[in-house]
Amino acid sequence: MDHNEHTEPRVYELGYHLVPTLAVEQIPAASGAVRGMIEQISKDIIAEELPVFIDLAYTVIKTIDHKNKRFDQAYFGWVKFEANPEGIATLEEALKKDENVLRYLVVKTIKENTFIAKKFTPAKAKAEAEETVAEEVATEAVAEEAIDKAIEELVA
Amino acid sequence: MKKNTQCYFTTNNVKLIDYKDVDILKKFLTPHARMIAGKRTGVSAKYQRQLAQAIKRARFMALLPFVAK
Repeated sequence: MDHNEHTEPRVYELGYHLVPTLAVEQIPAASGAVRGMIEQISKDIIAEELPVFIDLAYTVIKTIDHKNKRFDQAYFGWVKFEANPEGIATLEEALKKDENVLRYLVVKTIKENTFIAKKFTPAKAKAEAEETVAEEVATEAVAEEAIDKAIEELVA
Repeated sequence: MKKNTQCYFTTNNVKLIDYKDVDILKKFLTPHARMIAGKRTGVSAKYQRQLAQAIKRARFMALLPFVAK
C-alpha cells in the first residue's frame, strides 16, 4: 500500500482477533501489547473496546511454527486512534510478528462513533440467552397444555 | 424482498457504515450471505458503495461468512 500520498495525521481504526488459546487472564496483557504498538506511533487514542470472545463466521487458519492451526473462535477487539500514515506501515510490521494476533485490519475512519448497533455479545452470553428463550418457550407450551386440560374439564 | 423507496442509511442519518455493525449488515444479505442489490433494497448509490466495502471487511475479519449453505 502506498502510504506517501497523504502526510497529515488522520483517524484510523485497528480491529484485531487474538488467538482463542489464550486464557481470559492473559487477554489484558495481549491487548495491552497491541495498544503499546499503537502508542508508539500515535499520541491520541480516541476509542477502544477490549477483546471479547466471539464465534467466527468461518474457520481461520494461522501458521504457527510451520504448522497450520485452525480457529473457530477468537477474542475480537478494536482501537480507534489518530496517527500519521507512515506509522501504519510500522504498526502492520509489528502486528504481523505478534503470535497472539490471529488476524487484523486497519481502516481509515472518522472521529465520531460509527458503531450504532449493540456491543459485541460474547459467545457464552449468546448461548445462555438462547437457552433462556428456549426455556420460556417450553414453559409457555406447558401453560397452554394446562389451559387446554382445564377447558376440556369444564366442557365435560 | 419488496423494494423500499427510502434508503435505510439516509433515513437513519448514518455517517459511515461500520464493518463491526454485523446485525445491520446482515439485513442486506441473502440467506446464502450474498449481497442484495441496491435496486432491491432501495439503498442509495452512495451508501451501497459504503455497504459493499463494510460487508467485505466484515467477511475478511470472519464476522460475516463468505458463503452460507
